[in-house]
Amino acid sequence: MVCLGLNHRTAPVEIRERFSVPSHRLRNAGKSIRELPGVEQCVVLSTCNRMEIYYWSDSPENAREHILSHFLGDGRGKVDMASHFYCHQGASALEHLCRVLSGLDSMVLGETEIFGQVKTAYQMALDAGVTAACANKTFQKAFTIGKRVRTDSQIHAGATSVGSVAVELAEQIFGDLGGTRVLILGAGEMSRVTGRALRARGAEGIYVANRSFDRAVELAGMIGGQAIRYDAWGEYLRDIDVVVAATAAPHCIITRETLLPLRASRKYRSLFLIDISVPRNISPDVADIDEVYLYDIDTLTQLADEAKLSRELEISRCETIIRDGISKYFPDTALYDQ
Amino acid sequence: MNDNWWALASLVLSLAFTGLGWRLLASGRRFMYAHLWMACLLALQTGALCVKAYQTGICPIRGASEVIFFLSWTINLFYLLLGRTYRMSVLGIFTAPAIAVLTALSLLIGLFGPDVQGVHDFWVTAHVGVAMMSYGAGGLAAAAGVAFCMQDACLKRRQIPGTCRLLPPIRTLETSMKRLLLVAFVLLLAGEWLGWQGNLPIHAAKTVIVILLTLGYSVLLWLIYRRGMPGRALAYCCVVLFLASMSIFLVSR
Repeated sequence: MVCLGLNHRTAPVEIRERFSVPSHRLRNAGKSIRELPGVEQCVVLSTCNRMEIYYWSDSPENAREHILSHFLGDGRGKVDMASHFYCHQGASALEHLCRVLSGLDSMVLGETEIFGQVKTAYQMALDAGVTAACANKTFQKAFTIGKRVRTDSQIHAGATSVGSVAVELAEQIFGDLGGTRVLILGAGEMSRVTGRALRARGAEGIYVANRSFDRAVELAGMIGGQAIRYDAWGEYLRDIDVVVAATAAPHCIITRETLLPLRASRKYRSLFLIDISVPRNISPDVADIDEVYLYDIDTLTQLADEAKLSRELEISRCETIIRDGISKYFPDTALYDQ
Repeated sequence: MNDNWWALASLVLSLAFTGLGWRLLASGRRFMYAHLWMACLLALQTGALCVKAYQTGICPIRGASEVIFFLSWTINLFYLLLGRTYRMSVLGIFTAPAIAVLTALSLLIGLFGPDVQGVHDFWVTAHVGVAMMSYGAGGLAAAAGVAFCMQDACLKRRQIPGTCRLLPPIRTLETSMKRLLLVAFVLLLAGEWLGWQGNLPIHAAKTVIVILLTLGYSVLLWLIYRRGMPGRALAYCCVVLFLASMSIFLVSR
């Protein structure tokens, strides 16, 4: 078993994009590689951060040269580009596959999307008929090990970016974000990131207010929201569940005096305030109101950093689970060195 | 098998579930089979009640010991009926210790308390049974209230340990508390109506407690549905009302 590929660590994006295989072409890519001399079975994995080919061969070196030539051609460029590729063989390839599935090899440590992407890649290879007993057994068992890593460790726990921390907190408060109404004050980059993240998780009514109405319209168009006049946002507060404040205002625009009169008309519903502006746009003392949950940029960054740290602390546990899984499911790993 | 053995087995299971559940919760890991554990616990509790009913020939709600055990059974029943609906399996970790305490109390009273002779009376049985179901719903609302307070404290402190990530969301807990309070109130009224229909003898202290409970539920529900109420205040009220409803056992003979 051999894994030949490149990822975010070995190749910059302009190189990775050259080798990226769109999902609808994975079947054909697998068939093309399977037809190369020396390749007996293969699975092609392509995500935005990696492109890897897992193959089985009696003459791995020979097969590798053919695969590299297939992708890079035979000119001088092949030598330059080949330096971006890594090659794991035998037990090392097996361990690498398990690490990829567990999110240990991902750009965002512990991310879960990769598991589904590997499953899709394997399914495509299966459909294309380019796998056989060895590949099937290896991938099935590797999926089991990957699942065990997810359930027995905290490698995926906590959000690791400001946008995803905001979404995770919103879900801690509101559960399913479907039907949740969001007010975004300011139309900068952070507003876009947070708005998009909330939208992706089902937030329905997203209102964008900005001093420049044109920019509000632009952002609203990007995230599927509705632009409103900056001087009218106060009227919307009554029905809003989440407020994202990210304006360049040099003072607090939401204070206790803004919120206290609205409590009764809101029927004391929970209100999540995200203040990602500097200087702060929301007065810190609003957090004293029972149903108000206020998070500023420092707290969100701190939570993201804590999650990153706690994920890093889980790495050794995950590696132990992977090693145990490999010795349980692949007792004769020497076979993989063939 | 003696009904006490069934009750003892349910006590052991609820304690084991409490220990394991809280340990997993503290380490931020999900308890995968909470409903299965609680279903097994319900089976043991039901076994105890059935054996008792078979031995005595009447519904096992004679005296404080049996009534408290019946109450623990209704709390579990509501958990299994409502917990899954709200995807709040983790609430079992809050329900199990309450069941353990009630079961232990019931066993102690059964062992050291006086023997109580039951009566074959439909109205008494229906009155006590429905009233206990009301307290059971109130107990589960209190468990949801405790979970709410934990979640709220995490979010307010801006520290989100794994424990809080496993707890149900604030809004889900609020909705559950409201619905369970409504169920508890309706059942309380039904229990009162059954007692009144059956011309049961009036016990002054019990009557005062029931009137106060009815008023408490009425005001709380009016506040919730007409005026609105902050979640934390609602959670406190749920816990206080449940504890207040338990005072009925202090005045029971």
